[in-house]
Amino acid sequence: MDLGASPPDDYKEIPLRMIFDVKMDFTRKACLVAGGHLTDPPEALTYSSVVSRDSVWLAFMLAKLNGLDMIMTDIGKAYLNAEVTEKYYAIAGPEFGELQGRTVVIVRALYGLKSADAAWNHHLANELMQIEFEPVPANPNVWRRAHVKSDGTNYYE
Amino acid sequence: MAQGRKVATVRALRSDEIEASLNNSAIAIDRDPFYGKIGRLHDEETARVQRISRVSTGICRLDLDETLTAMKEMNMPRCAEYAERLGLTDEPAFSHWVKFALKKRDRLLKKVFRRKRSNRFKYGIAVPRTVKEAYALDKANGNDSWAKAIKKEMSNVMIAF
Repeated sequence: MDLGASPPDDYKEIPLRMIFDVKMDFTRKACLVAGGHLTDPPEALTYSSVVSRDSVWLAFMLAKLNGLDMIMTDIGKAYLNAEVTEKYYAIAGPEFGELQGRTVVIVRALYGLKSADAAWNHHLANELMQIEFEPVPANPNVWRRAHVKSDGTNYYE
Repeated sequence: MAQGRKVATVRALRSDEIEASLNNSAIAIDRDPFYGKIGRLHDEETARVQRISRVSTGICRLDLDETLTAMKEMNMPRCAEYAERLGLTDEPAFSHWVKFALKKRDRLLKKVFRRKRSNRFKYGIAVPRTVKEAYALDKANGNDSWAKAIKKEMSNVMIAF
């Protein structure tokens, strides 16, 4: 927003904070987080479950027994892919450079917001369903998709 | 002196009342002139001599024993602070334990702060707490390590605004 512009009426101000750390290879690391601990709890449930270790082991075992390949991946800045449902704005600090002092409206699930993990969970579930994955009834955090091997046998990936 | 008499407690306070009582700084204390400064109660059932004080607060008359025990068990240091704040430390029900509780509180706090791990340095490198401090550290060190880290983070996170 422009310098001095007033934020939308139904938005609340929260502080932003930069967290610093040093990695094992002495690389400096900074992480911008929102002060979600100062906000009221959202009306909707924000619990988001994660996959259990037993389920991962079972999936590994099934993959090995069926001769399937295993691929591992990581989603960088995962939460920032999800749109946030809470309405908050912040005043840009010196880390924003020339934007310092401006009002910034938070539109993505920034780390620290109370509903950030739930927003990411919802976003990931939607994306997976779009590419025809479905949650396993025994554990909704394990997703599978029916597929056919090159030799014509059916299996879940 | 109130020897040989069993003074019935009005009623035991509920935990929320105790909490409210401890939090209330404007609570009115009315010392009971009947008991004066010293009160000792001989409980014939338990054959114990108990020190008593009777003070009336906005919530309830504190008649020693059950109420005071409940308050002490709930949060002894705060109960001691409460007694100190209201000038009750010389009352018989408080005088024998309040100063020790306050001393214990100070020792516990010292222990906690001593145990807290300092996060100002990691691997011998000073870690800033704020962005301003990060830029100041870069200036002092003659490099731009923290500035680079901030720039990288901001380039990633700007999508959120």
